[in-house]
Amino acid sequence: MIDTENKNNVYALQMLLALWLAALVLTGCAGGSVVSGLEPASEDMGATQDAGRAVSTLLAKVDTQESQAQWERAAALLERALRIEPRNAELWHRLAKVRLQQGRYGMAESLAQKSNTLAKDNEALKRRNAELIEIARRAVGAG
Amino acid sequence: MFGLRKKHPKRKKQRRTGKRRRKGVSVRNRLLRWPVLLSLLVAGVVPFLVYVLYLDAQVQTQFEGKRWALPAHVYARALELYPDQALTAGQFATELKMLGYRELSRPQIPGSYVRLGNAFVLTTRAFQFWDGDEKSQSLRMEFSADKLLGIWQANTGDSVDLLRLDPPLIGNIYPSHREDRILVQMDDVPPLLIDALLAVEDREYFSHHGVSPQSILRALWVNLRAGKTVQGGSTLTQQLVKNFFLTNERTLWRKFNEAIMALLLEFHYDKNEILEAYINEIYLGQDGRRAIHGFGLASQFYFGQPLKKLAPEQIALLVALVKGPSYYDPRRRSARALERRNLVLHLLAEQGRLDPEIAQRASADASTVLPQNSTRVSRVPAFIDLVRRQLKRDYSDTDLNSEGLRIFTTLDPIVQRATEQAVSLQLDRLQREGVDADIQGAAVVANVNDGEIQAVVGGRDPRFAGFNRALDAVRPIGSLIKPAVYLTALMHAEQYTLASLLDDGPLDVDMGGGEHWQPQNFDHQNHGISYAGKDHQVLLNNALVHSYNIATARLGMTLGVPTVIETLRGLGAERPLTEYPSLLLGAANFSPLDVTQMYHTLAAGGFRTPLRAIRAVLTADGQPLQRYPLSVTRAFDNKSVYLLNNALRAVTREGTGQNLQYYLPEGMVVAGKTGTSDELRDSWFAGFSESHVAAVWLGLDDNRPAGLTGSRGALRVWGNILSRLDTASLPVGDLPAGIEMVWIDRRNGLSSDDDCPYAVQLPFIIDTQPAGQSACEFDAQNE
Repeated sequence: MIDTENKNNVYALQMLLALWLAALVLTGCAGGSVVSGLEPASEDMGATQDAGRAVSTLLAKVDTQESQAQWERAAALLERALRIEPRNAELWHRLAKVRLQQGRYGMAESLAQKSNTLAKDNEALKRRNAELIEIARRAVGAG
Repeated sequence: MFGLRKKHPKRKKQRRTGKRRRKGVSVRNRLLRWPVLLSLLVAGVVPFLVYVLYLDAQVQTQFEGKRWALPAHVYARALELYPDQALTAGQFATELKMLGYRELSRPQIPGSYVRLGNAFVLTTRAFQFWDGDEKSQSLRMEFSADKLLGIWQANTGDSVDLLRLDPPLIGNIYPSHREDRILVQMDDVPPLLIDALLAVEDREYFSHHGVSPQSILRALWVNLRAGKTVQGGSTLTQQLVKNFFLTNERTLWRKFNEAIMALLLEFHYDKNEILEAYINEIYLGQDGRRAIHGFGLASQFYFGQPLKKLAPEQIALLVALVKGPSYYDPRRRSARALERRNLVLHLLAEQGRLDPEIAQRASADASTVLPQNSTRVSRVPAFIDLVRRQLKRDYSDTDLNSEGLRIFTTLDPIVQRATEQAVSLQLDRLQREGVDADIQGAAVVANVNDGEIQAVVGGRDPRFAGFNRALDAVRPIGSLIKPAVYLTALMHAEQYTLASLLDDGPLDVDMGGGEHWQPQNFDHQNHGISYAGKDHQVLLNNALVHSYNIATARLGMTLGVPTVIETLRGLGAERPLTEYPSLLLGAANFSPLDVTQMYHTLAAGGFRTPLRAIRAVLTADGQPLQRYPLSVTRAFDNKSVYLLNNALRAVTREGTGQNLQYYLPEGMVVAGKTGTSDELRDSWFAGFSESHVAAVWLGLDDNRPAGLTGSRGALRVWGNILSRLDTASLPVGDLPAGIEMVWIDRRNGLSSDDDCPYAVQLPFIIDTQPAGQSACEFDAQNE
């Protein structure tokens, strides 16, 4: 069923995801920050500092689960965090990232959009959301 | 034994049938040789063998199937605790009571606490959750008037950032017999318990074949001498058989069956298996309608501790209960129970199974058991009903009532209590004001942020498990439907804004076949003023705020009924809808839960999240089985939804919902809509704050007119619910990106100066504000 062009798209997508994953790991390691993302760690600090101690505790656990590719557990922990800080746009973005990892592109896009509606003037976060949405859409197009 | 996961009953069945056939043949061979059965052999071998085979099949099926039938346990949300949380000391104390925490001066055992004013010292219970285990911790907590100030480790003083209490049990899903048990394996059984069972109930257990002739003779002798039945000759195996299969009648025929089945059981299974089954099966007490079976649950029921941790006197007391849990009930008949407990201790010492000194000390212990409410289950039948329905999509009945599943739900007991109280209080008041005594009501409350259903009230008496109106009262929603019409319009931002003019003049829709639809306003007036040569011109915003029927119907006809239905689907409506124009004014039937779903999509800014009652399901031994995750779909542009919500906010300030101000705390900003069906049969209110969305229905079950508008009935209940919750006010003046506020002359929908007497400020999607500027000079003619 997959023609050559589509195959190429899939490969391109895989490359993109791999690069993105690498970026994710690198920023996570380099910055030592609990928030990892597409942007340099320094730009991400704001959202984390805004999070309360309870949510920071949960985000540390999310990091652990993500490093073991336990995506559903990470999602459960993020949902817990969202119950404590429902309007924390960073948490919605993190959940979008987990869904993207799981290949649930439509959900990832919606969650990133939700994050955007709460991001206010956090331009860095909005950019990361936009990139995530872009990746999700391309993935859907390629699949 | 806990291996069964989701629906796959086939595997188990096949295995069982195979085993039965294979064993059946060898049973027959062995039995033939048994001397006790020789006389029966003479009487008629064939019918007897058939009967034995029948019993054998029963024994094996029951032993392998029924003994593991565990009810599912349903839990409310676990209370999260963290510094600065909005939680009062009173709410926290209520939570602890609901969980059966004991007030002790030195709260060192899990599940105990002491309260000193606004401070608590407690030891939490360990618990397995989907995303990990929560350890038992000894903590100190301090509250101010409205929040939790801090949490510290009791020993080290280190501050704690976050923890969870164990979740309150809100229900059990039973097999038909309502038995409950906590399964234990032989490794978890204290040796003293086995010793005590053997000492008291069956000394020759490890040497007999299921029936003990010596015991029977001894019992006969003792009973003859006493002139009455004082001792039983039943082995543990026979007792197990009796518990498993037979009724309580004392006939020879039953005794005969019991003996045969005991022999068969011993033939198939080894002594330890039978003993384990006995320990898990035996009936040890009653908790309301729930039957307490097995030592594992009895240990929790009477002492609030796991079996492994029991002291000798506690073990002895449980063994004492075997003879008659009701007769020796340690709560109601403590003297009698203690006497028998000491007999058990005495027998243990006498038979050399327990150090006499320990037995002596244990006998002196007068402490008994926990008060009854230690394992109390909160009764929330309407919510449990919803949970059951959601579970039935994924699990079979057998899985639900026999696999011991642990179901973690979204119910928030604090919100549930507030909702129940508001419904009861306001319905009582309405009745005193002369409303029909049969007036009923239902309400659903959900979390705006993640769509979790926090409370469900299915009727006036929230403990009554009957008709669940929150789910099954599917009624015309009247004007609650209007936001769907206006959202459909506002999504065409180039065509409609809140300042668009609508026509509220008389409307006549030719339905064909000589039929005409002529909708009327509630007050039988046509609203609006003449402008640019047209009569009855009203601002789109005001038509929704004041719930004008004609303007709405005309707008809906212009947009097209199918387009409005599409919007309803986008909001989450799933019921069948008919494409009649009358749908535009609420001739569409929905339940309070459906309405909550639709208004949730509005409350969440156009993001649709299927409302959930379940977070996760774990197996009996704590393995994650299934999660019901938060799901979000962007259904509408958040800017269009913002405009609509702004109008719904005005409804509660100056429109049909303005009476809310009498029920809500001052300064609380909410959005919502009233709904009333034809002839005042149904009274609705649905709306939301920043954190909660709720729908309320009032009416009569037989569909007679209740005589209540949405505003006079459901609105009061809704307001009362919200006033009881710790809910966040809608933000004012916090404009989303792409929205601007513009002054409008409300007579003509044109831009105006802010000092124009008719000026109102309305939000617009940027670049859609009216082009014209109002002169702001002519007088209102007929407004």
